[in-house]
Amino acid sequence: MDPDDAVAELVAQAGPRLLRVGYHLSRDRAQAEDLVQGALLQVIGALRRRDLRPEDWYAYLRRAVVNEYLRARRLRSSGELVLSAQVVSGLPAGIVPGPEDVITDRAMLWTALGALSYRQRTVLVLRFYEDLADNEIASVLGCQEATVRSLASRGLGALRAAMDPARGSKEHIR
Amino acid sequence: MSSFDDLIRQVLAEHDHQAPDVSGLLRSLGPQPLRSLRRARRIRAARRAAVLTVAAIAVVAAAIWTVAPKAPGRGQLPANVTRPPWTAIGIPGLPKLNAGGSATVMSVACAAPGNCVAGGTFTDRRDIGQAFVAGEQGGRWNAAMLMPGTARLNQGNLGAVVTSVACPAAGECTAAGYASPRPRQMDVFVADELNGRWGDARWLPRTAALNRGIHAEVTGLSCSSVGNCAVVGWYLDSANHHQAFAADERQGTWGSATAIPAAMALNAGADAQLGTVSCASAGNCEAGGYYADAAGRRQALLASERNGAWASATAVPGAHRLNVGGNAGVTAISCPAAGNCEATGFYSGPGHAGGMPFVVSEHDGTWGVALTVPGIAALNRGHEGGISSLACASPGDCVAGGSYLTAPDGKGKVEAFVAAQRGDVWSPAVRVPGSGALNAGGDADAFSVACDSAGNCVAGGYYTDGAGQSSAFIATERGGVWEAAAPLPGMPALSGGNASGIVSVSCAAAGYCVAGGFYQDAHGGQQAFVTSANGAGGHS
Repeated sequence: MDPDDAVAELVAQAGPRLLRVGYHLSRDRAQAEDLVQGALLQVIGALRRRDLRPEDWYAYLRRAVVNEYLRARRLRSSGELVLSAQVVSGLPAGIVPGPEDVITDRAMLWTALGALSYRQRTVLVLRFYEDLADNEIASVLGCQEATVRSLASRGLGALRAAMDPARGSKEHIR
Repeated sequence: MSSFDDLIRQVLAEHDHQAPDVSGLLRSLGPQPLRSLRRARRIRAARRAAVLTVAAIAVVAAAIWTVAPKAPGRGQLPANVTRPPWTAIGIPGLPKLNAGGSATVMSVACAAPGNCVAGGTFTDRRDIGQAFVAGEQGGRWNAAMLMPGTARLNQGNLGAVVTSVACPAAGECTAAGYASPRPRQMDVFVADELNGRWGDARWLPRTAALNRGIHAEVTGLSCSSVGNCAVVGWYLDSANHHQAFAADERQGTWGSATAIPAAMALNAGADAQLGTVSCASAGNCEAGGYYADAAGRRQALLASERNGAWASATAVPGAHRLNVGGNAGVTAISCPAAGNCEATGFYSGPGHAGGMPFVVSEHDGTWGVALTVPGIAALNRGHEGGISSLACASPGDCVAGGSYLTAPDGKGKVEAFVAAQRGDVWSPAVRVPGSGALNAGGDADAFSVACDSAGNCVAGGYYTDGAGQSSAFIATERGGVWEAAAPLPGMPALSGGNASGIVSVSCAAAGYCVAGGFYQDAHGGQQAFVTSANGAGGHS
């Protein structure tokens, strides 16, 4: 297949969902586009080096998006803050919305997801947005399944704490 | 499954709409998606990615590059500097600005030996892209500075970048770029240097017709003399369609960006861009790009300015006959004299989406017929070739640089090539001498070419070694003969063997050339470099 045709087909098939995955990981529209563009370039290279079945394109691209995101984050990890759940919630202690306030809960959860460590957020996005099993996530991240479970557990714990500062104000989420 | 898990799913799904739309991605890929992706990897990422290392390390190495300076201008070079080897230096002062670790030179321009300017982008400590300029005076590079005025303009989240610089005289340069006035918006700025001092960047005025869109980018800048320049680019109109624009500076005053009526008339498919411009004299410029015809097929476009009026636009003569695949465009243009220009572009042949380079010549104001670059068909068997840069020392004496794919079906290598025109005749394109041995990884491009006189040119770009690492190369033509390409000296000291590439080269009249680009430092951050003429970096 002509490489330009291949790119066009890849974008048509996988572009919209990959952009959403990239956005949920990076929380940045421009960076989401960059992640997907980088992934496309990698996959084109892979198409040249080996036969990649069209049904595998999306998974390959998703892995490339995730790896590029993690690579970039690792480079700046020394500058990443260890945030408390209180900070994550964006609310001062004692001002906690009631559980009946679903809209606020969701806003808080979205904020808290964005403040997780990059590996925790990646695991949760792959689990809850991409519906991947832990073994599949481990394959994407190149780590042990136990590591995935640990990251997910800590991430979920941090989210719950963010939703309930009484539990989590002292809890670090990394 | 817990309700909390479901809540997470719902929250993620609810924010899907905030993700970028795929149409934007498709637009950014343009008519040659693969080339666009490669370009994006090197250039666009520097503008927007903003995700690299927090702490950049200033790496400065001694650097000298000149090609037989004969007649130094304002900046006198040391008398003992004659044909020193190519070397590279980090731009003084830039690592301190580049706290976000994502910088590159986008454009360099030289007015005289030892008097050049580099423009580009870096990311600040908030990971926002910012525009910078750095100047060379008397062979020494001064510290890079935030492009004056852009701090006020760049209030959005898409960053800022100097995309083009042009220097008709030492200390009298012009820069163009874009910045983000508000979240998710981009607009074009211009700035002028007067007596060695940069004035504040300001938004390029727009006509009311252009003022409705929220996104515009500048792609080309050319100055025929001090204060007499032109820029071209594209903007999104109110219907979210790409439209081409041009704007002129006369006697130091910028006029409004306007859509070119003749180009809009051709653009029945509502997808047009101008990507390159060259001005031989004030008010006499040529620009190139593409438009979409009524069938949605992209066609190569030429637009002409005569006596200050962008009055005509036309499909490249003969290109539509070559463009069986419906994907063509003009990629570079050079006008050494008014009405005597050269343009390069690409078309897609039968069964291919794109990528056979063509050239077309203008004589006394009349464009000839587009011709496939001689010899390229035999090299570009993968039908994925393009010309990245074109430089003409005089009418009929030009050099073009680009890349081609050696075999179809994803089995080939991407190689860098140069082609030369002497006495109006294009000789066959050749792989950049010496680059084949360097490019074991199979991905190279002669990204930029520049000439100080006919037969005396340079080509800069990148190659990929057997380990998959991209590195900057430089090749020099002397007396019409290309010497073997070589890795840019000094780069290993800067990059520690990490990725690098030349984005832009420029030559002054007396055989003095400068290159600029990017490299990855030991911490994974992306830094910008230039070459210099008298050793160490200068006044940092």
